[in-house]
Amino acid sequence: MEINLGTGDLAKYPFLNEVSQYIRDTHFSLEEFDRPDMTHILERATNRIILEMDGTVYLELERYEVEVMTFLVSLVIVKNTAIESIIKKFSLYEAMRTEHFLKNDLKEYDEKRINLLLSKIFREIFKINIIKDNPTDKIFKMSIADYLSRSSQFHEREWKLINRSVNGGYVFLDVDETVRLIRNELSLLIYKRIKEMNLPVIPHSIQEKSDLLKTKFIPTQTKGISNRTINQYPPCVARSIDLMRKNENLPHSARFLVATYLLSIGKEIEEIVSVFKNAPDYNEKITMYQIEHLSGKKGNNTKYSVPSCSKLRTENLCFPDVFCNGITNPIQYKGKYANDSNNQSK
Amino acid sequence: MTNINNIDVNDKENRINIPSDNPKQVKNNIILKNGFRKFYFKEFPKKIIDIENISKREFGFMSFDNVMQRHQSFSSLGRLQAYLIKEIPSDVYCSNSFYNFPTFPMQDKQWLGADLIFDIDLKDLHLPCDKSHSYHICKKCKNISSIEINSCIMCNDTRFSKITFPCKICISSLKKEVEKLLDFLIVDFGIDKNSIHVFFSGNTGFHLHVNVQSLRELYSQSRADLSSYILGKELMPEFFGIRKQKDTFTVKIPYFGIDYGWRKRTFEKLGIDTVTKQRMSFLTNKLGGYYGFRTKLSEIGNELGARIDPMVTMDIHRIFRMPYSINSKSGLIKTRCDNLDTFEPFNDSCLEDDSMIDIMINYPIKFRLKNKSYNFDKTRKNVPFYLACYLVCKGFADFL
Repeated sequence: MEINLGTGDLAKYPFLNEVSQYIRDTHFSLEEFDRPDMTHILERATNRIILEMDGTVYLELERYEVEVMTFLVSLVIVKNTAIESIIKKFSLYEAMRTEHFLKNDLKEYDEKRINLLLSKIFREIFKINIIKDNPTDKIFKMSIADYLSRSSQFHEREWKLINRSVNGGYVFLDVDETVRLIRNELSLLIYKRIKEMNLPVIPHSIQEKSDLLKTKFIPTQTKGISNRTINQYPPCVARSIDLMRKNENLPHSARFLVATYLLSIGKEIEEIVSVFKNAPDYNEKITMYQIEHLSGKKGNNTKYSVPSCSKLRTENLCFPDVFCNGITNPIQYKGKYANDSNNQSK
Repeated sequence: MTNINNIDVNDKENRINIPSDNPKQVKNNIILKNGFRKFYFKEFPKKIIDIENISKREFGFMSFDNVMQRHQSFSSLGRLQAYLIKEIPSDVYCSNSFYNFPTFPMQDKQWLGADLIFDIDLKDLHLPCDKSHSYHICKKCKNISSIEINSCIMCNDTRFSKITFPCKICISSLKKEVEKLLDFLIVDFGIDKNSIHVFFSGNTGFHLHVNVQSLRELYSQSRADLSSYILGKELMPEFFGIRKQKDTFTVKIPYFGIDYGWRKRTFEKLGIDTVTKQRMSFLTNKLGGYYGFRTKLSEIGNELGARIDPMVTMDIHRIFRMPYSINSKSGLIKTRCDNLDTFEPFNDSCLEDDSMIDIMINYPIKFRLKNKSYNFDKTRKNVPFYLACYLVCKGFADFL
């Protein structure tokens, strides 16, 4: 007997291909959001975005017709703001919302439904083959290559392959771990959906909501470090700061480079924290703690050094320019830059 | 043109940099080049069968004048062989990576993937026998010393190359590390052993090439993580159910059991076959609590991990010594090793050329080659070419 996704699944996972089909079948047009009976959906969507911009995962769940429409309107409102930081943060928090439902479903559903979700979400969308290891246990396994290409974005030691159960080419994971691994991809999927949307006409009601968000969540400018100063930083550091200003979710290694470099040139911790403000997963307290830890003020009093150029090369973070010739660590760049620039001007 | 950032570290450090106008070196180079040409003409085509995706790989060549030329590409093995016969490089390197445009500068090559590679080298084993068969050759004047010195007694230069003549203990220790690595690759990573190719590097180590499509797509960071697994680095007590709690610890039995991977290795080493809370608590207390347990894990990881060079494995833009090419540090061939137990590096990797030639031995030396032991004084000798080549490349003799 073929098992199909239920409407409840469409409500929880509105990015599924089946949902797109459902929307097409309803012949719904954006203009309809100016109708009074759509106010509920518009308000729900706006609240959802505001809550997520404030750093809370939106976990409400109504019947699927409402959820699907709310998701769709949320995407349109967010897209219409055209503010990158809002789009990135919304994508991340929507990924975390999915993560919440998926974890519960994979823990509670029966075998056939679990396999269906594994197939529809993991295999069809993300091309990852997750296998349920044993019918009685909630243990999953994925190939080492699939695992490593995702886990290497996490810096916690518990994600290191050596601290995982590995056998016969597979890494064994529980439900929470399996789902956590695809958060970035989920976020990227939603981000792409928003970016690829084509909005020829924006109804008045949606425009209003987008304007509201724009005024409420205008991006914070990185304070303290001017563009001119950043241009004198080594290109690896300057590029990472630039990406962060564009709200990119940088890997741990790039964040580590920026923080250790800025510490090494004597920047104040508050000033460094402000550089990270545009990261989609920014949390002031955690960032502050981590930078204090790197500076040696917290933890085991170890002051972390700036990674060497060879290490950065292996991490694909090296983008050398002419002043990089002959240096082995980004901290040598400043002197070389000043020296060579002077020589050039003579 | 000289770019030696991503070739074997040893190759950079231990290259003897004799000025090419030194008459002895000029003569050595001429005769070596002649011998290398013969090899690439006669022996090389019999040994090498194929280089997978040759046109997508970057090649690099070290000349006898120590000039590195990278970003080369060949459409076929025949064209590569023709190049080797014509140009006669001292060393040949081939990228483990595949690129759309292998001849372009690194940032424009368009990386497509890379074979997983491993390097196990004697220098990383820190064996006690090392000092008894290692020598230090002055990079400037080639004067040899059996002890480590700060400056050359002949020319005062402070740059030395370390030359070693691996003994039986060295080879068996290297083989043990290869076996450990194979165990990780086959048992833990599930790699088909037919996809793993073991080579003697031609000097003091073994190279492993793994050709598995899914692993080729891994970036540096993932390869670094894979290396840490093999090295046994960063094992956490939490993985074994021991959690830190203020000044003490708690025990939670591992969810996935202890039947495989590092849990299995570690528990076997600790002599534990069944895990209970009481047993784990007792053991952790005995080892000195959470931190004691962590120290023990670090020791076990160090002992049971395979001593690979992680920088080689994680580098996805490296050019690695090409299989079946001559290693100019020894005059031996980087040779495939299908049966580790029976493989004799200093027997199976020599050149075939046994025509007799005169050499002058520069320093008294004992060594074994092609199943024969030699004990040479500082004197003139008439020896087969493969042996002469070995000693000249090692810096212990000059052609006459």
